Amino acid sequence: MKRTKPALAIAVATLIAITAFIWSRPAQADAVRITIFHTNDIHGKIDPLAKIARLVDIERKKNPNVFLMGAGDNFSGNPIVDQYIPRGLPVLELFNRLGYNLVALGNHEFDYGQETLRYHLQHASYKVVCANMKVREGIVPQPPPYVILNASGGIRIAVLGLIQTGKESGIPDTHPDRVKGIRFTDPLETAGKFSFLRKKNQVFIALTHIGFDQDVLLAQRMPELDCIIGGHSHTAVVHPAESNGVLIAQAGSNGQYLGRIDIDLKNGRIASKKGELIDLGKIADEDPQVAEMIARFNHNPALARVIGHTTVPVTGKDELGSLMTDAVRVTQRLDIVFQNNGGIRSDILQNDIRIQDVYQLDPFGNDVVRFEMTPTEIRSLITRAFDRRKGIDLQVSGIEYAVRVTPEGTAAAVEIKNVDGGPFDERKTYGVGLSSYIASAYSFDHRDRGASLFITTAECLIRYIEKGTDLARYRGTVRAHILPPVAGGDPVPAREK
Amino acid sequence: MKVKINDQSVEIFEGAKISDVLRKFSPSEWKAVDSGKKKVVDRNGNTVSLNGELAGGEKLRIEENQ
Repeated sequence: MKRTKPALAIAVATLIAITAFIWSRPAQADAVRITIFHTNDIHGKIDPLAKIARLVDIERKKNPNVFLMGAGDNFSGNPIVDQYIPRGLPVLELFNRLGYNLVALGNHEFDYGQETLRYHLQHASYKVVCANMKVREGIVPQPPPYVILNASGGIRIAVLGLIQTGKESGIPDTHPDRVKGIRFTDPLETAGKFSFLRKKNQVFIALTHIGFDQDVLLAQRMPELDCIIGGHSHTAVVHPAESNGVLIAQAGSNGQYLGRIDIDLKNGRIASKKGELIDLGKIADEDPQVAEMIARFNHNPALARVIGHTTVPVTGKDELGSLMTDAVRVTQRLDIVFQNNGGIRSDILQNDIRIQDVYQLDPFGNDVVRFEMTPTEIRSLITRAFDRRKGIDLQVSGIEYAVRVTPEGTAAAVEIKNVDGGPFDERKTYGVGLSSYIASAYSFDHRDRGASLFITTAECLIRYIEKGTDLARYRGTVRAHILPPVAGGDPVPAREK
Repeated sequence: MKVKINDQSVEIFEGAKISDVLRKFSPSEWKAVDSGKKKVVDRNGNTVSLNGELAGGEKLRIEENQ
């Protein structure tokens, strides 16, 4: 008996080990095809989702191993979605309806604030992954760094999520106030800590929102990845190619394309992988129920929501421009803000002011860009803008200015006063807000390279009106003036030079 | 940040989009891309959209849209 007990124990242990070994390996299915459909940077453009629903459903009926993934920035960029109550709801409900399996966080997922992101995460029927963010004091639930998806034949698919961070800011490209209490780490360095996912999973995917160039670097560093499904740079990778053995895919933006990746496995090993983009402009078929949902969302009553009221109309470039620049200056805590006349697209605001009126007035989706500027640099902006249009082109908040013209009508000098009429401090530097249009299309001197605040000028105006600003006070406001040429002698008084 | 377009270096604010740097590079080229006559491609020859987000060091080219 003493001899048989160890023998029995060894036999049992061997049996357990063999069983465990068999169970730990995927079933030896002859062949398994995994199809992954992917989108990125939809930015609230919901109309193509009816086509995507149709295409994905057709494949799901043919193959149990079909997955739908999103590589971030599903929100921000369509007022219908952005102004929904709660914000972004159409995308959330449509993604749920389409049966998205997995989504990576993009920088614009934070644009509605952490409370809204928390709402989205709590109500999403899909999983959200992000490996390089750590929620410390923020109110967003901590997303998992990766998720394991199970396919037939015992195939395990590990999907790691990564979000972009700015080189200088160290946070994703969104307003810093929106990511308070969350720490972000470098996506490529972080990814390296998850190499272990290769060992126990037959397929290893990075679902990223870091831009195509970074995806290529990631592939160079991590050949253990099978695929990278990316976003952020809005790159249409029409023919996804392998880099260092890693297939890199990205599907443009705004739902123009649906990405498709097919991975064929034999005996638990990848035999081939290939990707393509489906041009949704060439697809006619839609899921009728999803199309109906989209039609309902597109009639968003929130756009007709009244955010302010004035019985005294605000009219013309001077009054409306003063209102728009005040909105940016006050909400973004800047010293001076400029707005070009060409960006003021309505003539009047009066009576009930609705969200749609703001988007009509300011429809371009320009972000606010902050520059630290000296008085000389501010004058260079005003002067060159004046010469560009041969007249006043920039409305302003925080100061008043007057352009002294030459007899030919060009700017000779600029006189600046504080809004209270007091002298302008020539020794200071100022936090100046410009729309991204002015920041890129206008020529002016600036040593500071500038940085986007990742908030649109329209969003600032909505907030400013919503907080009960007295709009009647803009009646008759003029902050930019033209002074005639000085007759004879020096055309410019010394103090204006 | 600095971005190269057609081998020319363009300095643009942090957080800029493709449309911003293109407008700074050449308003006429921006119009050509916006109207669909031309397109912007990255260093790998992939098309990028005007609202694509930029990172420093990127290399872009403007090409005829065929």
